[in-house]
Amino acid sequence: MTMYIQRAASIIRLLKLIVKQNPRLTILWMLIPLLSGFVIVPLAAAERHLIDTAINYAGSGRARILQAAWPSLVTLAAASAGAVFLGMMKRLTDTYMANRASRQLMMEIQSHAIHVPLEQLESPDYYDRLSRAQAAAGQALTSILFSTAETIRLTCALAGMIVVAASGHWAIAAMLFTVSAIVLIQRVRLEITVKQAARALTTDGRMADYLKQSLAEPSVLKELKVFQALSYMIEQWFGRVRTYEITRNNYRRREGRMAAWFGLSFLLLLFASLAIIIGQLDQRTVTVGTAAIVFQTILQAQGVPLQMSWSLSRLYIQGAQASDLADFVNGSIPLHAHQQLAWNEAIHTIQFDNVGFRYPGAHSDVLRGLNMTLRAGQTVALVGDNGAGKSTFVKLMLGLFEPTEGRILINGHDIRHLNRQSLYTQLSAVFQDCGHYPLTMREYVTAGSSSAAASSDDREIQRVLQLCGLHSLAEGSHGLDQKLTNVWADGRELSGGQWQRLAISRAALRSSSVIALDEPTSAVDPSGELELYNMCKALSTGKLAVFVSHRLGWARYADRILVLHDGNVVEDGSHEQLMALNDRYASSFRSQASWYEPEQLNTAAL
Amino acid sequence: MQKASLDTVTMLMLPLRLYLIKLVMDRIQQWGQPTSDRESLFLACAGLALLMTAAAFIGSSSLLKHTRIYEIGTLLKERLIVEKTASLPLRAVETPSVQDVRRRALLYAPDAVCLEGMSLLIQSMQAILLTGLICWMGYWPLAVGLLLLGCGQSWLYAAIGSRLERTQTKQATSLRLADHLHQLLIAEVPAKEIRIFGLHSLLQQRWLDYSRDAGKQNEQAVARSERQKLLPELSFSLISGIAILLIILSSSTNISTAGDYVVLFQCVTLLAGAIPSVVKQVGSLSQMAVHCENFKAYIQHPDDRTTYNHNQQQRGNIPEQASGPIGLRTEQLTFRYNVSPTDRLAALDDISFEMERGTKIAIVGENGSGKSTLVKLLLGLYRPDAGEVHWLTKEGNVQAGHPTYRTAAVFQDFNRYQMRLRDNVAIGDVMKVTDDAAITEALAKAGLREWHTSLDDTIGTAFGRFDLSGGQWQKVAAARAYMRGDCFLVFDEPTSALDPQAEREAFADFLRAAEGQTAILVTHRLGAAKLADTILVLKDGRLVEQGTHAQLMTAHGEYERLYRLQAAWYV
Repeated sequence: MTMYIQRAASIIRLLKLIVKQNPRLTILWMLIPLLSGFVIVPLAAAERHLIDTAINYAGSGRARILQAAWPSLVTLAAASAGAVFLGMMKRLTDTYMANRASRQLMMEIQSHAIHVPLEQLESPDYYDRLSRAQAAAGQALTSILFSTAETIRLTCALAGMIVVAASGHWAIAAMLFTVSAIVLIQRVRLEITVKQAARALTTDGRMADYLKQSLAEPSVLKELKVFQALSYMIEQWFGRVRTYEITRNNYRRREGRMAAWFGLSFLLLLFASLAIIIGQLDQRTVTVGTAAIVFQTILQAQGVPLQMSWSLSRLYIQGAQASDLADFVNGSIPLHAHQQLAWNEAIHTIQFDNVGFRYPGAHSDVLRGLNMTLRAGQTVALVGDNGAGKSTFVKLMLGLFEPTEGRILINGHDIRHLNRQSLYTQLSAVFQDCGHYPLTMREYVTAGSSSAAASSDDREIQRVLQLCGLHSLAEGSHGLDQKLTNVWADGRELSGGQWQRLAISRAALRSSSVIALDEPTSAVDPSGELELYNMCKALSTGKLAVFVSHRLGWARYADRILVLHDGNVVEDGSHEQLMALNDRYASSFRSQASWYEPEQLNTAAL
Repeated sequence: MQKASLDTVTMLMLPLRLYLIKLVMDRIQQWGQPTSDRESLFLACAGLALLMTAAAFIGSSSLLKHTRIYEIGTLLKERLIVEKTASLPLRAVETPSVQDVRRRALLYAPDAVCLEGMSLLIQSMQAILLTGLICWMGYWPLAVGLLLLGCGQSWLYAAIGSRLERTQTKQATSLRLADHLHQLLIAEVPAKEIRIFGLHSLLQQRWLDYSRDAGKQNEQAVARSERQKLLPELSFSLISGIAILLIILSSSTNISTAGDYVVLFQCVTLLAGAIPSVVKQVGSLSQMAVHCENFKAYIQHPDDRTTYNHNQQQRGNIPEQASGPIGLRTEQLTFRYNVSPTDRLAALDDISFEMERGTKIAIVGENGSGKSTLVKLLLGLYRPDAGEVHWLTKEGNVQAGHPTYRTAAVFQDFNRYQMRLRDNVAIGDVMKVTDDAAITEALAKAGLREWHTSLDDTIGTAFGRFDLSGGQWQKVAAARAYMRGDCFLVFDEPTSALDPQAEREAFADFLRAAEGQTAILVTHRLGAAKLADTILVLKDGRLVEQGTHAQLMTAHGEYERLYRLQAAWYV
């Protein structure tokens, strides 16, 4: 029982969110099904009056009949026309509402993703909540809205029918209410059981969906064709789909069997009402017309619990998602009130003062005890094994993360007090996985440009693109207006290497005092690598440049190399110094160099 | 969606039901009069009750039949589409237009068509029956009017229905763009970039624009179709009103009983309800016809002949697998991707070479030189646009991709299947999915000697409790290829995410596992390439050099230039 209440509460919370942004639309959207349901009352009243008029005035002149009948005729016409209009309006408001609500909630989710501290965004817990909210804001939201409107309409329709039944005798109304309620509750419970066996909620079903989707992806099909494993996968999928379908349809069959009993209970109701009406005939309080419409209404009422059970069960199932969405969106975004100081000078030093970092909810530090000062004009290489914390270091340095211990000082100011937006304009970075944005080349490359004039300076852009080896792209048929990604029909999908070069061009166009490069050449081939290295070197003159790379060949030409191991900086010096030290760095370097040793051609050397 | 559609029997019971209702109403009317016949009233009621009970039980059994139809229909369609996708040539599957056709084909629901069709038939027959009754009672102009209007409506609904379909296909681009942008804005990986470069306002603005655009198109389409439906629907309800007016007026001349009026009202109301619903069903059937067309279009797409036949066979009996290494020969191999006319780059142009059985081949070249494309052609995944690709076997020369000869590959975009560890590895040889020893051995060959789970654990975050690291996944993918000892092995740069040490180990494992076999290693780490027997150097889709490391170094060509470039970092 509490589950039902909880879910209903979640849905109401979600609706409250939507009402705040679109009050008039929401009220209209709720009013229309209400009226649509109640239209049955004037309709039935008019019909009754018309039947009675026809019988009572039988044989009299036309004019007399018309005079008696015209109010009901008008009511009938108005009610029918009203029903048609309301039906049309409902479909329109459903569409408008779904579009606006969906847009509003997606925007809220985006705001969360953008403003929440990066370390929280990257923690699996938070990200899981975000994904679930996101899933709810899609199909589930539209379905919730539609089901709510339907529930309102059907409830009012049932209420209207009860009113009509009461015109016969109050006992009929009472019985109709009771029978409908009982049948409804039974049906809802049954429907919920069926829906909980649905594909998206059971492991078998979800796995079946995953396999079906994989079997349409080119990379999967390519691999399976090579290994001749397609039939195996298809059987895996089909086995699960069949299990799921059989389970679900067994529930449907149960429903079918129960349907007969539900029908019977309405029949009992029907004849009980007839009996009551007949009983009243002696007192002449009911007319034939009443008898006719009561009969008709009860027949119609049979379909209502069925339809309501669909909407209510859907709302119950999706109430869980509604709560994911409502809770996430209502969660507070930190205001960063302490980050007040605007920043607009060049950065000379970045100092790490006993800095440690731990992800929210993690058991151990990723980095600890970092003490060093990085100065402008230095090229710093960060090396270490995967997982040693290199990317975390870069994020701390760029102000994307806040240290959990110690302080980071930018030109002597604690980074905690600085306004991040303004700080970022002094920074530039190229990350390993750059996003594939559906923008034109010009927009992509200048999105972060700090000089206002640069956005219209195509020559500058062309020059930088040339330097990064992208001249063929820049001189294509659309030039700088070439749309990127094939989400557009006329867009161009770039290779991994091209995306990375584009990201480097973007970083180059921004005039900043600090630049970070996190494995910028992982997707680029060797000759491209040299080109890019030279480009990055040119980029970094006069700036503080930090780059992260596996390939120790890059580190060799840096001013300073920091070797990270187990969350600590274990070695710090130039290439010559560290080779002389003959420790971790030296052995890794020699190992990588051995590939290119002139006369070593045997595999044993590996 | 389950619809309580009328069964044939229920429909046939309709006249009887109406007759009994008439009787009941007549008796009620005569209640207070001396000629009243209470007994016959009770009899009529009883008869009616019996009839309706029967209808209830029949209705429930028809629901059971519907479920069965639904079950068969859905499974059949899904299976057809999945098998079709598997049998298409790889090139087709990679094309966005074919992917779109597949998406649209999925909308087809044969069970729904069947049920709607049945339902339509029965409802139409009921409409005819009611019309007949109304005419018999003497109001034939009414019936004719209602029918005519109904026909007009059905034609209109069909037109509106298919137009709405087409609009929805058109808004697809704005929706796709909005969706893509939204995913970027909420994803973890681009978040760093977005913050540093302040991209969020631009991206959000764009998303809003596309989203609004798609929404507006959708709303306009719905509004337009609703406007068009308004007049017919209104005129329909007005006609019902006029019908009732005529009935009332005629009571001045014909003296009928209450029962007659009630039945007449019932008939008119039922018919007024039946005709629009018949019309709507015709509309939805026309939409379904569009879906059926899409489905047929997809199913009729030409198959990939060689690999498909194999997969057909495998469901039946296990074909004889030839063993032994194969040689490779290409003659004037040319291949072009189907891109827009402005990008006229040939992916591969006029490539010819021949390799003996058992050779270890390295294919090197810069990004975009066509290495991966060549490999796919050699594996038989693509058919060349011109020229030939042959496998030289003991039994003679066959076309590349022939199902009797086994292949194995570790691609750059190898897949992480969210299934059991066992399944992930045994994809390399599905016959051995239950052979623990073979799977363990394959994992060992790939360098994974100990792991803290059993083979039956589901790996990956989607359905499992934990995920493997990038390096571990790469080893699982390699183990796939090492399951079978005797096949043509390909290693296409799967190591970009690994650090140099792990990369060296992966290459070593590969060369060890490829002992005695023909193997291809695609890489741009020339330090690894020099371990191969022969090196093929590709540049801009052409084969520019071929030979051993020593030969190519003395040739002072492209290879030597690239090698010196890489070595310069260390030497």
